[in-house]
Amino acid sequence: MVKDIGEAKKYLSSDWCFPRLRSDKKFEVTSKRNVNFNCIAWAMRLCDRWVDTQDTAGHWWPVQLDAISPTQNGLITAFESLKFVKCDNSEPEFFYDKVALYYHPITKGWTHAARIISVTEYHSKLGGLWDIHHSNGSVLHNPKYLNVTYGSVYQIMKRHKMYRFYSLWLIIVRLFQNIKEDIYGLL
Amino acid sequence: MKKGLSFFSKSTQSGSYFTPFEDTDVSLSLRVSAIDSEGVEKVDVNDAINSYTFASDYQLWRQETDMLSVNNFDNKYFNAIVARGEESVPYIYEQLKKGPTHLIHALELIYPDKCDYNKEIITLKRARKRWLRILEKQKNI
Repeated sequence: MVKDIGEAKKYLSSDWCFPRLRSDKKFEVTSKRNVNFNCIAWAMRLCDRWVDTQDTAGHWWPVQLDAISPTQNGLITAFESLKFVKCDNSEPEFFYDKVALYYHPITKGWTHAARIISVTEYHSKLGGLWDIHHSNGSVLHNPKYLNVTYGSVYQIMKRHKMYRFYSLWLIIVRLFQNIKEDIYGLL
Repeated sequence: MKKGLSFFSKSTQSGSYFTPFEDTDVSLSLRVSAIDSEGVEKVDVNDAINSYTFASDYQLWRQETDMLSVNNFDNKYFNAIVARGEESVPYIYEQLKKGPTHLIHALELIYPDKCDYNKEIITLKRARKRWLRILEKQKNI
C-alpha cells in the first residue's frame, strides 16, 4: 500500500516515470496499489487477473489468440473477443464504455489501455501500481526513458455497457475454476 | 555457549533511491548464527551478502517494471534473481509472506516441477498461498 497519496504522486510524476503529469491539472491518484491486475484488465473490467501474454500464474490472455507477439492488432483482437468494437472518436456515449489503446513509439507494440471518462480525461491503472485520473493525449509518454513510456493512443474502442455482464461472467467462471483447483490441490 | 540461536535482526534499508511502497522496504538482514560465551554475535556473512543482493535486485526490478503492463519479466534484475536459484528462495518467501507478488514467476522458473497448478486459471492470490504451502514444507526456509 502506498505510504500516502502525496508520495505516489511524487513518484509517478518523477523524471523516471511520467514527468508530464507534473503539469497535468487532471492528475489524481484514485486507489491503493494493487498488484493483482494491470491496465488491460482494468479497461476490460476483469479485475481478478493480469491480462497479458506471459505464461505465469495470475496472467491470462484470450485463449484463441496468438500468445507470442504483443502486436497492436493482437491487443485489438483481445478487446474484440470481449465484445469491444473499433471506434473513431473518444466522445462519451451514454450506453457505451470507451477505452484508448496505447503503443510504444519504438517497438510499435502495445503498452497500455485506459478507460475514457470524457474527451479530455482518462482513467488508467498503471501496471501493478495505482490507478489514476489524467488528461488525454501523451501525458504518459516519457521521451527520456523509453523503456517505461506508454507512448501514444493508436486506437479507440467501445463496448455496450450491457456487455459488462460478459466480463462479470468471465470472473465468476474463473472463481469456480479456482475453487475446483483448490479442491484438487487438497486431495 | 548458546548454540542454534538464529533470528533476523532489523537493520538499515539498502539503496538510496526513492521508493513509495511500504512493502518494498526490503531491509538488509544479518543472520546472527550464534552468540559465544562472551556475548559476541557471530554473523553469517554469506547470508548478509545474499540478502543485500536480493534486496537490491528486487527493488531495481520493481523500479524499472512496476508501472509496465507487458514484458515485466524481460529484465536483467529479475533474471539475476532467478539465476541465483535456491539462494534467492528464502528472500522470495519473505516477500510472499507480505502479500501477492510477481516473484511467483521466479519460483515457477526455479522449481518448474513443483508448479502443479493451471497457470491460466489460478489467481495471483491463490498461487501465493500455494507457494507458501510448498515452501513451508521445505526444510531450507
